[in-house]
Amino acid sequence: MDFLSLFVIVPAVAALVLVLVPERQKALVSAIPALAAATCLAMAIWLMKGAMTGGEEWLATLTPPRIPWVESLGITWSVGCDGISAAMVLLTSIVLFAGSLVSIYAPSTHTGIGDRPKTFFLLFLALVTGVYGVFLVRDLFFFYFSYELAVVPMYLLIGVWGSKDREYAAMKLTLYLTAGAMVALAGILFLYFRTWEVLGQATFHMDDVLAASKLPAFNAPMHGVDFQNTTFALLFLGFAAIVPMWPFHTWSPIGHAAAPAAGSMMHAGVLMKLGAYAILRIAFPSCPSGAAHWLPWVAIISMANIVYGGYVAMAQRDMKFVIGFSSSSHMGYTLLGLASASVMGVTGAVFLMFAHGVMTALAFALIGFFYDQTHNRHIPDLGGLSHQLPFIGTCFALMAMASAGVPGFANFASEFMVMLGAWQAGFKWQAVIAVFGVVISAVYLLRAVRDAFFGPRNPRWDKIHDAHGLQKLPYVFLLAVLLVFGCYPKPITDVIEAGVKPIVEAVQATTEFKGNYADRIEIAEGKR
Amino acid sequence: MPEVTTAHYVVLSAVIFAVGLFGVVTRKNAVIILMSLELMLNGANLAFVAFSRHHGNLQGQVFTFFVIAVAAAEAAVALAILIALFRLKGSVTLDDVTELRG
Amino acid sequence: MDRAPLLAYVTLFAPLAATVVITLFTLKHKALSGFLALAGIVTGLVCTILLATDVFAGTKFPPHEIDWLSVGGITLKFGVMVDSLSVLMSLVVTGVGSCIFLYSTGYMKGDEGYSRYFACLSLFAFSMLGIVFSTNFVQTFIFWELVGVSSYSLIGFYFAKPSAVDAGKKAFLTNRIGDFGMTCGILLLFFTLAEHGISTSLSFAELAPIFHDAAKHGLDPYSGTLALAAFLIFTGAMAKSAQVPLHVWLPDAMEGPTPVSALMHAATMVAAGVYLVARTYFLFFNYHDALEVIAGLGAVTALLAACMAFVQNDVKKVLAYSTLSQLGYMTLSLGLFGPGAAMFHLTTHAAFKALLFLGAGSVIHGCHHEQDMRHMGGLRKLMPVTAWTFIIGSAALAGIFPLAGFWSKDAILTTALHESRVLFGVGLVVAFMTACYMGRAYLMTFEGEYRGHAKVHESPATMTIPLVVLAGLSIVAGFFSLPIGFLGREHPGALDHMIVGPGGPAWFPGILEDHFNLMVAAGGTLAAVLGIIVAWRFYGSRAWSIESFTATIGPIHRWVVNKFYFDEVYLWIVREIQQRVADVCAWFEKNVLVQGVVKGLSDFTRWLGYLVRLMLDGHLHRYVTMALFGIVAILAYLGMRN
Repeated sequence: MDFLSLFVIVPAVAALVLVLVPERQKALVSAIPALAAATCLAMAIWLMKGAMTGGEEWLATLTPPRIPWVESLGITWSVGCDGISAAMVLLTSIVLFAGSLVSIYAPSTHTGIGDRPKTFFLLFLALVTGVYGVFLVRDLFFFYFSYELAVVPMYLLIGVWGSKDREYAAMKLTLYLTAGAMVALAGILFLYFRTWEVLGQATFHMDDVLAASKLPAFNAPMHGVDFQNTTFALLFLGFAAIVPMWPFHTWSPIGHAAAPAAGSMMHAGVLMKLGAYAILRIAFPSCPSGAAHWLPWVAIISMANIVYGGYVAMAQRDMKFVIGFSSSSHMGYTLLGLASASVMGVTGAVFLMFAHGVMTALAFALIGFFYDQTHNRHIPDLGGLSHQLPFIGTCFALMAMASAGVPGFANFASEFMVMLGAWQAGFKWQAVIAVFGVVISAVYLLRAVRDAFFGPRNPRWDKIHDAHGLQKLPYVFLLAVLLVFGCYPKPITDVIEAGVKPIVEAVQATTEFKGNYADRIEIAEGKR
Repeated sequence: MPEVTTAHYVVLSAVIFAVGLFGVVTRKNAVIILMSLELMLNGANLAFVAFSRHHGNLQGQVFTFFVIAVAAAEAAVALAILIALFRLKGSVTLDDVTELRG
Repeated sequence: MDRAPLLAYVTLFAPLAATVVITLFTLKHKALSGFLALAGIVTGLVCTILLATDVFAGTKFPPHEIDWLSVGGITLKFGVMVDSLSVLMSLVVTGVGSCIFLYSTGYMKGDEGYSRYFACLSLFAFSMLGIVFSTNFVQTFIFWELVGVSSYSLIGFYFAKPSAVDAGKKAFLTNRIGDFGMTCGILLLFFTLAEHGISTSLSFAELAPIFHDAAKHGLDPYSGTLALAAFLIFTGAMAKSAQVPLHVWLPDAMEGPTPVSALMHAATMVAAGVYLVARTYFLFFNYHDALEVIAGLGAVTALLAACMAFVQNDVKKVLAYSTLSQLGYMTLSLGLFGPGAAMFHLTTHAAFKALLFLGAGSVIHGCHHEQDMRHMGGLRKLMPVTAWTFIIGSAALAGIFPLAGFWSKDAILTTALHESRVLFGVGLVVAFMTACYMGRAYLMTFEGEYRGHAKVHESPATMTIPLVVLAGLSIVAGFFSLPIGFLGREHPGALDHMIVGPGGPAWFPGILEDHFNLMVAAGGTLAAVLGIIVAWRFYGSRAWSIESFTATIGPIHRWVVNKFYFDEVYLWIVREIQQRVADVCAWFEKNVLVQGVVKGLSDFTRWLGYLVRLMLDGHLHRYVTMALFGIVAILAYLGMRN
């Protein structure tokens, strides 16, 4: 079995083993997912280390031959990894590892998991299997399959183990994401049948789709409309629901708020990144001219994400909603980075997906920690928690700093890259507004920190305990990741850049791009 | 005396089928509906056998056996349900059984 | 690596190492934490002195840089720049910093968050040193923000006190507004240069020659875009160096422990803005419009802050407004082609302002956390060391010959006279006011009868030794401007000359060097002496009544007491604009998007369901009939098709 497929197999096998373990074997039930998580993390670190030293060539050597599955339809099991995938796999492994630790070392029995940890971990591992699948498979059929596999367990995770409004949240999330997936599926099928037409053979493999998209016949109008523009729009809209792009974001804050801690971590940390990843992996390369056609509009919509999301976060009183809306605000930067269609901006967007994933996982882990004991997330009811929770309070303040784009954390480097990329692409005003968004984020985050953690000691919370011993591990781990990649981003950005470059250059080569990004071309050629 | 052709059988089978269908649609009593269903099935059976003879192969007859077997199973299950229903409601009139509305 | 960059890296990272070690390992061992922090900053001081012996002797070092980020043809770098300007500033930071760290070990004794305090303090020093040694705009910006963060953690150190937390937040957010401008400025500068085909990593060493010869590189020396970029970068300096209207955070920042105020006001943070402008003077020099605005802002800040210093009763607040006013002075000098004079004043100011703050801290410590001067008085006899060092500090600030402040103030006034008579006048008035309010503060605190109730005691040696050291520096720091030997070597000229002289970091053709002017010196001294006399008449001999004076200037007094209503305006913006926008967005989210669009869609779906449901009433006959019609319809359709 090849190395890359192992990422999918390890959690899947762990889930199968978990089925056989009796529920009452509590230690074993938590040990199996933790072990799987540690294995995945070790493999992901090895993968990233190899990518940092060996570059794209080394990653290419990992690609195994295709294994046919349904030959008549052209479905194969084929995996592959480039710099973007490597970064996302590392993110998934980090969040998975921290998430399973948080679930195991929670102050009470299990953070909101109650008395059914086995089923919880089973679904959790299924979800992770799907996530790894999305990031690694190179076959559109299995891509879509993994995508749904990643999305659907969230319904049960929230619906069964969630907190307030969980049924509503679970239903809303699932409906939004599956509806988005349906739209995207239409786009995928468009690609599939057009590739079939052009190549004369059925294939779901992305490389074949890309090869076909280079042929002129691929772009023939479809029922009188531009093929690429239509397909890109379908793929983009479908996947943008999970990004989440304004105004399709309303599922996300309530989804985060209702999910259990490990669920929110996985969800906000990794699941939301599937959308942007899918856009970059499928929509960009297969429809480069469609991308150049629509992206300037995305740059405008991303402003709504950044500014509107920030202001809504400012008005929230529930801690998870603050972080939830801030996520939608931060993902606006990712959209802006994608829309810039420049190497700098897109690399920044991918790096931001990584940084935001780790940061937001940390945020939900911390909120989970105190919510587990206070059963209260209403910010005005909290206050002075740093007296009882000095460690958690410090971590939360650092998390807020990271989220507010303070240098030293990976979030700053990535957001700065997005701003550079946006300006480079000629989106000057969007870049300025994005810079302003950082000011807004500082306002609501510092306010949340002040109201929840600082101020006089509140005797109501005297009974709660701070993290001690091994409980601190996941928080320190996540903070360390943010700091390491934030203080010296070059190694990881080099890896991401190598993956981004061919995709972006394909977009930049289109005639549509020359028309839509004229400003930028002139700058590059020194005409102005 | 004219020969009995395939057409005669088909017409007869259609008549039987129609009678069964009429029964299914109009009758209220579940037992009678079941009997009507059997009539419909047998109408179909007749057609199968007739065509089997017409084409000179056995495929139609094989189908008939399947249909008879399925019909027997169906009757067993349906009658069991009816008995349970009768115990519950004290009647087998279908107008009284409307729990499965949308 | 060569010796010079290595020493610079050690200076830079020693405090960071202290922060990391304290945070990870020694939080529970207070004495060890204090020692580690002190060791970190003193290591920095020793390395800086070693560097200084080379640099002040005239040795030049190229900047040492590594790639920090390199994507899509744009490279951002990280490194250290060792030249006279950075070494001078590093001397200030580590020198004054060492005194303050030592003082803190005494001042903070017994505090619950002792280790946390030293971790944050070391981080603060690290951030500031990062700005000092920075080689390019992006690195400067990174440490710029870090200074904001560490000041947030120190101003809000007493996190149980809501006012302290709010002050920290205010400082951070005000600085964020400045940083907003600075980021935009950096982006604008970067891409304006890119448009002219100049691709750089925004390194100072690369940019300076380009701007010296702007026309040759195709840059319009009077281009509005570049002037705007320069001004936007200056807004970052405005926030850090607390220039009107971004000065509001500085007085509130007094909520932090007193040594933090000393560090912030003397060596770090507020000095950063002035340093940045001096460091990037090549950017400003060509753009006289931007410089005029800067000079104007400096003059306004100096005047307003000096006015506000008069009406404060909290001894730390007087010093805070005095810092504001002195920063205005430095900015004024920057705007008038005098970066050398500004840096000189920054250096001397660091010595005596640190001294004054630590003296104030000593008084507060001695009076058991009493900060109100109305409850002090007569402390000279009870705290002699503190009192005498405070006198030296005040006199230096007032600009009395031959103390440090005299020389640097004189340098600024000379610069001002050269460029603008009006601003020279403002400078003289501010000099008068400075002497006057410092006289008031001294007289209210140390002379007359003791008006408090607590039992006063002199501070321990860990606190008085730094006072004496800083007092010594406040006396001698000014002599470095004289063209005499320094550190036993042949000196090429005054301090000023090293920075703005030919080949110096802020050199520009036609830049002003400070030349001693007897008339200016006499005028400045006269203003200072007048100020002291006026203060004596009001607060010493009580010959003039302060009450009748305030009554005479009624409305002006009210404006000054209310700090010219800056806070009110900001509060109004925050409450009435920012919060309203947030509320409107939240309302839109809740009522339009969620309740309107989303719930509307779901209601529509449900209604559709009800409609379909009407057909399914549970009657088997109807289902069969419908199926029958369905079959007939399908058959009919198929029949018609064929």
